[in-house]
Amino acid sequence: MTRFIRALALSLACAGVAVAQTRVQSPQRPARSVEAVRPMAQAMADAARLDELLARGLQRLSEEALPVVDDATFVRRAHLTLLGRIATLAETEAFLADTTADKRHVLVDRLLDGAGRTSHFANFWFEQLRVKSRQQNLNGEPFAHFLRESIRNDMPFDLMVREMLTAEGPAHKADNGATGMLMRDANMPHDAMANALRLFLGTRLECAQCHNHPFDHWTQKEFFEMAAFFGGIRYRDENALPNLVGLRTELAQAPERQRQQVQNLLRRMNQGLDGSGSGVERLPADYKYEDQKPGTAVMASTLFGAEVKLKYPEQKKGQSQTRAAQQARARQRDSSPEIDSRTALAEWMTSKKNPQFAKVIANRMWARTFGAGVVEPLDDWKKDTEGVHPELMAQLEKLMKNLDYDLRQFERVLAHTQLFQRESPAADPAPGQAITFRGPVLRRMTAEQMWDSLLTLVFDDVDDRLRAPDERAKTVYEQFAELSKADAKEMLAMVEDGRGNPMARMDQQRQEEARRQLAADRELQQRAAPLIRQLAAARREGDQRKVAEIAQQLQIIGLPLGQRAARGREGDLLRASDLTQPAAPNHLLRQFGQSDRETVDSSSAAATVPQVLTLLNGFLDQRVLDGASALRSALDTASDGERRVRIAFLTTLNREPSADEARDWRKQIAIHGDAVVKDLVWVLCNSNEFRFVR
Amino acid sequence: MTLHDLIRGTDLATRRHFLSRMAGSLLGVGAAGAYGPRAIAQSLWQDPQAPKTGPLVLGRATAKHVIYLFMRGGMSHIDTFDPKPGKETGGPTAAIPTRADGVVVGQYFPKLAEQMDKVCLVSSMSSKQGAHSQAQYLMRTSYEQRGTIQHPSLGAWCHHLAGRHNPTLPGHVVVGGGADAVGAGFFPPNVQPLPIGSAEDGLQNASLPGGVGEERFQRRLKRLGELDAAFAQRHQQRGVQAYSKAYQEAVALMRSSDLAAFDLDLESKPMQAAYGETPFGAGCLLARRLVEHGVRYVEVMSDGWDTHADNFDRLGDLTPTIDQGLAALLADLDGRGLLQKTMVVLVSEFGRTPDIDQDQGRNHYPQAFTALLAGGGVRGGWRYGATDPEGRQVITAPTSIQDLNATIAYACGIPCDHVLYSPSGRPFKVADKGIPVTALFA
Repeated sequence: MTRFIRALALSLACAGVAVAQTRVQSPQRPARSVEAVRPMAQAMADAARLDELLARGLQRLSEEALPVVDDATFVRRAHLTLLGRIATLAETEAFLADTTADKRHVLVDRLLDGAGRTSHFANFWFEQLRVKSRQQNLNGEPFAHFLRESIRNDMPFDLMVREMLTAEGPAHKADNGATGMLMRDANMPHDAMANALRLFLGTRLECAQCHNHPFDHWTQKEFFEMAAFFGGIRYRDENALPNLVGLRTELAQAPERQRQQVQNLLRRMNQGLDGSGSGVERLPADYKYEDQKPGTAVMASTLFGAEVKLKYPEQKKGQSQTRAAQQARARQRDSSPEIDSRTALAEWMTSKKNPQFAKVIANRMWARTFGAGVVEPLDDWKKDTEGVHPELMAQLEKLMKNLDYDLRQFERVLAHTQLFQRESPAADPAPGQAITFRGPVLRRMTAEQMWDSLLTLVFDDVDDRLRAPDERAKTVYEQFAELSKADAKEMLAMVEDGRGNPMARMDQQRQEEARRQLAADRELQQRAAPLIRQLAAARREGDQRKVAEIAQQLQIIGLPLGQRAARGREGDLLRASDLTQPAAPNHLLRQFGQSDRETVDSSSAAATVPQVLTLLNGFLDQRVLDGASALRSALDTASDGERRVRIAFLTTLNREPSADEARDWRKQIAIHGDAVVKDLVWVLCNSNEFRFVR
Repeated sequence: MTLHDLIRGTDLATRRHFLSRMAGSLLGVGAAGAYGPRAIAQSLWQDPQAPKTGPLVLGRATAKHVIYLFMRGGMSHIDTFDPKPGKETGGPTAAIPTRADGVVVGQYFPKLAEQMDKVCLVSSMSSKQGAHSQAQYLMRTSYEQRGTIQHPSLGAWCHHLAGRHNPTLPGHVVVGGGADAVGAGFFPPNVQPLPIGSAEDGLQNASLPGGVGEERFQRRLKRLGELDAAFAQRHQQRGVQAYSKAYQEAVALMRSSDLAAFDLDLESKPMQAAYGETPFGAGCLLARRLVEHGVRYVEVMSDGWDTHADNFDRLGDLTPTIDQGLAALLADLDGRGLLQKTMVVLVSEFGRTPDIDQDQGRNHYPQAFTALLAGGGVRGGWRYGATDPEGRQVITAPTSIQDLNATIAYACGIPCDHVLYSPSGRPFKVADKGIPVTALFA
């Protein structure tokens, strides 16, 4: 009988996997396979070269590389690093049972081709670029949409940066999300420049906005010469939407409050970028250094690397073209004409000749994969910075350029190294010592990895539930389109019925959607109720065959056991990259340190009391341990106590229990009953082994 | 030739060496050799046991606690605490007498009027920042908002430098903050304020879930300890140890009788009714309870004050809860003998225009507005500073936002000239250039 049960359970599991394979392609799945772009052999050759240089580096420091990890550690680490979540029970068991020799490399490529990779990488950009769904008057979903698409389509990183630096037009218009980066610092172009330099060139110049840099050699004037590349940029696209002036007579009859609302609506919706860059900026009124008078106009000039020659107008024949003469002319002009200095900036910044651009992104990708940069800190490179392994760093830079800034291929090379398979060190480096990469660094999961991993216990198909990249931005695009065609009467109607406020509209839509879901759910629950009662009875009786039968019936009516909700009905139980950015302050994501998106790199991996309370008393008992989660269903359909203990370990820690652990827990179950299995899951999810990435 | 020129005149290596030596002595640690001031600052942050920059000497604190009530949106000052009856700018708002001789308040605050003997009105607040987000940031942190650094809030400064009274409870709590990004800023995450979404709902996840009794919880913890011990044998990183500590703290909090502080249902019905069963009223009641249990800094947020249109009607809707809650809080603190060591602050990011527009609204006006202070050593029953008869300009004792924050910090015993370095090596003080207004204290 037990054989039959096991076979049935296995076939159900297989059916699950088979169904997974024939499911509709997730809309966030990468557009091409990694193999189609570049054969694995090449990636592995590049990886071997990196391993070689690392080995040399370690030797020079008289250190030894750590041994290679076992399969269980590898499958968990690979999923977390490449997909941003732990492996499911099926994924773990499949990998552990696989006997092919190169299965680790095959796994790496497969994970990089998954929709989960897009979600995980989106979190990376959302944090670096400080994506917020709601900025004061701006909706950030178009920007998020742009980023997801760029990731999916393997947009080369240099091209992505150029697009963001040169974007123009309304921020809320369809497919204009690239404006999001500069709009994030709307009306603060100096902050935008400081952030761009920090992010893309690893140079911290913010101090120099207000005075000569105290610790580095940058001057305030140099900062303003960089800021000049954004000279004259405007944050409103006045031509995007019908002009309020033109509508004034028609609106004159409307009550004041409605007129105000239309005005606010237009002001919100015509936010965007205008101006290709004048190449001129004025020093501030309180400039205190003797080299220039306050308020003088300075011309755009690069900090390092190649000089950029901008074509300032009025270069009449015979007129002196020396910088001094050009500067003198610039000072005389009142408003500076646009000369496309933003494009010049973008080209200089992303050029293969720029001494910083490739290095910085290569180092960030290394840090993301292995837990720390070859160069630390990631955003504060000095002239003489080489990092802990200079040869390795040089090779990483070369590799990034050779791959033409394809970040997924770069990540692929890193994941094919031997380093990616090594153990993590047992302790922090001594104070003042750099990390040397005998193995990847032990680090706590990011907030997004934690949330996504907990979700994996609730649904075993989280990646299939990822939404279309533009799902949240669609409403914004639609409203913009409506507005651009509307006349005064239609606009008044829009503010009247609440369509005027994009936020309110989004909220409204979401509420309606939630109501629909709830209604559909209720109906489904009613149909499922008798079955669930029978299921509970079967469980109590220990009738595994009946349990499996009923599970199948539930699947047929659309409430498969182990799916908390049918596809599209998860409410807010979606992967972090599909939620509002950032999450609400009380959300588990923020408790675990998700960045508040106010400044760059402001996420935290620190231990705090609210997050611990959530794990102790909140999320686990409410969502994971209750009857409808994937984990509970796996436990309930398990054949016996031993299998249940194994399922608990395999699903949460992606490993088998040790002999001691298995014995101990079986004893506990014998003493205290089946409820102990829930306690086991609770313990595993609260453990350091769960939350740290080894 | 200035020191600066001298430094800039040397080559990079010499300059950096010199700066690191100099910073080393400024920071009170030995010369750090090849490591610049930033590395020193960073290493200080990594090790919370390390001494802070220079010797921090706390002054005599008159305020052991601060209850900070923030009216978001720019509360009209003329209609609330600086009424101008009889003037056109005063609008229809009448002034009512209070328990404090010579002090009048707007007609919207009859209950508070009875408590004015405890209150000092700082009517000479003045600022240049008239945009919401920036002005709120300035008020809460004393610094201008930049996209490049996150400054700690005043509460975080007090928590970080003056510490906790009760080790089991958080030192800084923010009630009703919503999507508020102002918090610990660049300070270590352990001074991040505890957010309470709704005072009525209290602290989430602080008690055992249904179906889990104490015995079972003990068993769970025991097993967890065993699993973590095995892990700790293989990994001794500081980050791992930090989690053991956080679990201890969380469990201590769960078991602490002080947890009851968050439970408003333990207050009698009449008491709850006295504060008003509104989010703000409940917030004030929660603040009193938290202070009783030793929490140092409690903030309560109130929204809706941006009255560009229908100012008077909307104030009529908004003010009763504030009037009731604040009056109840002051009376209650006083009755329990807590007011002397608890500073109560009510403030908004700016005031509103004296001129009333055609929508019966007032617009943003940072040039002159009012802050309310009580307790914590502050002398009550008077008005500090003044605006002109129409309420347009400050004519006596202008007080900047930084000065106000310096005053609060001073009451908590924090020296306003003490310099702290952020992890990126930049110097900051608790209230930037603010100077405490010592005249406010008894």
